[in-house]
Amino acid sequence: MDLVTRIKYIKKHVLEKRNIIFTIILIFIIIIILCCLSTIKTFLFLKNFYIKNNLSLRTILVKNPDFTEEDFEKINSIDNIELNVEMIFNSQTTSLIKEFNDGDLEGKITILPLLSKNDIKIIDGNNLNNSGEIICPKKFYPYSTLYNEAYGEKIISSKIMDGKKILGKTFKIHSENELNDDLLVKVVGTYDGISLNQQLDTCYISMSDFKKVAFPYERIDLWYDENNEKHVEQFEYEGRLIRIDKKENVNKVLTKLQKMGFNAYISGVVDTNYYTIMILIPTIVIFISLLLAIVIVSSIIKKKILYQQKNLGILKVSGYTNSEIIKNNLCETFLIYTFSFAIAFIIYYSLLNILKYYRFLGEFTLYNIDLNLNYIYVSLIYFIFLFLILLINLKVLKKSLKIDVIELLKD
Amino acid sequence: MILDNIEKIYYMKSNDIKALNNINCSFEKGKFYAIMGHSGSGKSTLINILGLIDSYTSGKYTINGKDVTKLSEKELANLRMRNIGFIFQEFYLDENLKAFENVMLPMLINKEIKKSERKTISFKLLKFLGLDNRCYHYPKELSGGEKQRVCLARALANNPDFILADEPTGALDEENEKFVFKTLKELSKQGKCVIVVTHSNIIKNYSDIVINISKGKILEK
Ligand SMILES: Nc1ncnc2c1ncn2[C@@H]1O[C@H](COP(=O)(O)OP(=O)(O)OP(=O)(O)O)[C@@H](O)[C@H]1O
Ligand SMILES: [Mg+2]
Repeated sequence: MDLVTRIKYIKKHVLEKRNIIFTIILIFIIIIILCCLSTIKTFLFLKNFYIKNNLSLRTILVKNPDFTEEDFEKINSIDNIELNVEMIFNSQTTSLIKEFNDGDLEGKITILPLLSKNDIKIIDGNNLNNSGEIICPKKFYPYSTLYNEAYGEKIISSKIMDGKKILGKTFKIHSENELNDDLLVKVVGTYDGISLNQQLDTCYISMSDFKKVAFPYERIDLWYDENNEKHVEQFEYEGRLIRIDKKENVNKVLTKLQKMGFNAYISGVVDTNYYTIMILIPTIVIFISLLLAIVIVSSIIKKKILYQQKNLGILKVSGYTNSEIIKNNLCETFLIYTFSFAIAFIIYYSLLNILKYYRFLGEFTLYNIDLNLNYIYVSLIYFIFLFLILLINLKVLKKSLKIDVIELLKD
Repeated sequence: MILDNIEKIYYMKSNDIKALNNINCSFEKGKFYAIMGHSGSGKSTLINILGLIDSYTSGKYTINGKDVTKLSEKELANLRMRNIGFIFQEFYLDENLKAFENVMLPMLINKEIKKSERKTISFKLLKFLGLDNRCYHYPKELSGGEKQRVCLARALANNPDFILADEPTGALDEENEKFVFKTLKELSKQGKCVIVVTHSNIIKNYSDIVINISKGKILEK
């Protein structure tokens, strides 16, 4: 039988009740598995970010009110220290940028000092080389987020711009240090903010520039001194920011510092269990649904073939060979499965896009994370499942074809 | 078709049923055979074995000079397709296919019939059997007699040498019965071997040879 004839034959039989039930169940199972994989992928990414790529886990803050030159030497004598800088670089500053004003949206960026050139991955243009340069995110949203009672903080996704578009532009950053003038900067490059999970408005400038514009005092919780009717006490930044070369060495260095009598602690905290659980749960769900899928799909295919036994008998009486019948049946299953997968994928994709409307989900910014599964993974799942289903189908069908033709017909 | 010492035993839990016992007979092209006998005598079992849709326990069955036990599944299917047309009392039509599509079904795998000719042949056969205006009907829209004629058309689709029918007129009235027998008679005159299992006595007006069967054995002619 040629393909066109075969497809015509299948078309006549595909709308049977069993096939429709089969399709619906397949769609359901595929959606569950795609969603679970998406969740696993997201949390693997987050785990990677929070644990592996997270610089704050390799950062030790040493806070001593009276920090001397001698202390500085002491710290530098410890091995495995990659960076030892002033505490002011542990802060950030923000600046309104009127060049970015757009209708109701007020231009605003967050500014960080670039402690090491390797901290960011440049996408367009160059890394920082000179004073007066700035690097913006590739996905850039240089606005103060809107506040809306219904939605909370919200990003208008159509306003996210490609950082590349503003390469070469210059603008002024407001200096929070009264002693210095505003700083004129030129955009020289864009960086990959997504893998750093940075806010979409975060730009980097050199350490020396940062020191010019940053607020020179540590912001300490306000307390009100009623006797003197005074509000705030401000200290200059005291202590050091230390970065360790590898995560494994952090605790070793920390102990050494504490033994030396410093008030030292690790800058970042992370709940490893949280991510492990968030990965484990969907993995378990996938395994359960895979097992269920195999059981359910097997029983449906069994019922389906039992239901079709009379037609199998008719084909055999007409002189169809087993291989011809197998080809027919597998072709039908292939078409049903492919159709179900396509529908399941469309539904899954729509669900993802609905989810993307909500900016915050727990701790992370959905805007920064690509929830979509890679197309390679999707096609991999498609083929693995296809193989599984065809295999089950083949096994059940072969059993049926061993029965005498007359018994198939009598069914 | 030559049957040599054919035996068919159904192995049941309580007792074994010998449906056919020591069957020896042969069927030639150009003749009209009628198989008759009481209910449960093994007529259906015999004709199903002849039509290659049932297995037998022991003995030798030769068709067109080939020993059936030595044939592969593919060769058996090929024999069914080219040489055997089968008609059942229960029709066994594909409910999802229209009358002419049911008739086309055996032709779809016959490489000797051109793709373009299949539909024409199907319509010709249905017309020959007086169903010109029922070609586009589904089986559920046809009467028993009409269904049986569609079945006959399907059996004739690949122009087989052997036409086997198991109680083809069991569910039909006298008029339809006569029509079926008459058509089968014509076919046997055209050189085909026609074998019919029936309870109907009027078969004697049409058949060349009557084989009586009782308790799985052929009685003296
Ligand atoms: N699948 C089966 N399993 C067990 N026994 C069977 C089976 N099919 C038929 N038999 C038995 O074999 C014997 C012959 O059956 P068969 O169907 O050939 O009879 P028959 O002559 O066609 O009868 P009828 O005229 O009622 O159709 C019967 O005793 C029947 O009970
Ligand atoms: Mg019978």
